[in-house]
Amino acid sequence: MINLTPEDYFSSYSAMIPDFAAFCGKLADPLPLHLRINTLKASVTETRVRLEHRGIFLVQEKPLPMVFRAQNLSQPGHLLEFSLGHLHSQALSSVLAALALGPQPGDVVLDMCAAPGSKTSLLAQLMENTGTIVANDNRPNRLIPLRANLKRLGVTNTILVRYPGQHLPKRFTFDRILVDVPCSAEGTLRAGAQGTIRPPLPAGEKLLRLQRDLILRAFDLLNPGGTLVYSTCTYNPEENESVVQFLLENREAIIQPVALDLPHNPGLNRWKEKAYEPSIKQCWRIYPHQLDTVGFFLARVVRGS
Amino acid sequence: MNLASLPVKSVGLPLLRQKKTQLKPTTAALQLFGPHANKNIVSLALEQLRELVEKKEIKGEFGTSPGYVIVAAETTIIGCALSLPGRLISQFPRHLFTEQTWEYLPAGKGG
Repeated sequence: MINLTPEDYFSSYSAMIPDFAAFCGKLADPLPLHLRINTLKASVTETRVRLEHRGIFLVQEKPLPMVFRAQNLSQPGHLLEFSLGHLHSQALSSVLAALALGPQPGDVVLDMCAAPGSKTSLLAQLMENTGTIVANDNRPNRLIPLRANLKRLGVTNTILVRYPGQHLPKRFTFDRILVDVPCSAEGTLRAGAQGTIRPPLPAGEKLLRLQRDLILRAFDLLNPGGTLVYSTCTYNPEENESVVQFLLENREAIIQPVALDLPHNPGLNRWKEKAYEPSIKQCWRIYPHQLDTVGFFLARVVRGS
Repeated sequence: MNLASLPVKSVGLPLLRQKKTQLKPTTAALQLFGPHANKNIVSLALEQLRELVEKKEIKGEFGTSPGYVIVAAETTIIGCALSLPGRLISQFPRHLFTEQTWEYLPAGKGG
């Protein structure tokens, strides 16, 4: 596959992405390194002080008290604090997916596509290792890093299971569900030194069907009054608003605003010939020139009681 | 809770491993619960820790009875070691330290 400039690769989104030139320009920068301090095992203040003594400075990403942009650090995996599970390297937008779900201590939570466990471990951190998280992933080779990360980060409230998410039995129900689906991952693309992008595999019908099946099953597994967050790291409306629209057309789902205060754009009203429900505007589109992280989509959905 | 019949791959955090004659606490469990321990803790300076990691064993008296002990570097719990008369044997998993880990620690500066 031929490498393309950001302007060429994303040209079909030029009318959809605000300030498209700034968006393309931002993709020339490398992705920033964000670290989450894992309060299950370490104190935010002590960890910052210890790193600062060694010349590693962490800049807080307001308003997120446990997330920092790391300066002058290229390989966090070599830090002792990383091996000890005091720190985890995690994109800011990935943090937002777990925060948008808003898990509470004592909840029963499903992370439907959990590997490699960054969001699962943050859910455990937010729940203070109480309640129960079912961390599911269907890919056997992905269970290994999932298990290793949860162990390193001191997560004790999690059950690992291996199901195709769309076939999780309906007899198990949950207070909250995170559905961070497999996607075309356009949001992770940065142009690098060559100024070009290696195009990812396009989202084929099989992937789009899987995303629709996953969101439907997730909704069916919610307790009345329960909440789910659907997220992707892609800009493609077919994988985002269209999937949420599919849910609204097939279930009595209610879209809720994401209660966080960070730069974002609303969900789309329409894409090509397709018009979306007005409530989809409450979804979040995250673009890297507005919030310097992986491009992301978030939808918070509630099942009426 | 309606999860009782869920077929699971693993649950929670491993606490102990069965050795030939003893139970050994896991590194993960010690790192999480070690701060609550009030005995059988060996606190090492970073230079001693590095020697323990590189040579797998250090000589000396560490003031604990024979058996598994918690190793801390200054105030940070690192993992498990086997204390025997006159020596301490590392039980750290290999992945805990890389060669580059020492470059980020004060003790690593200048070797």
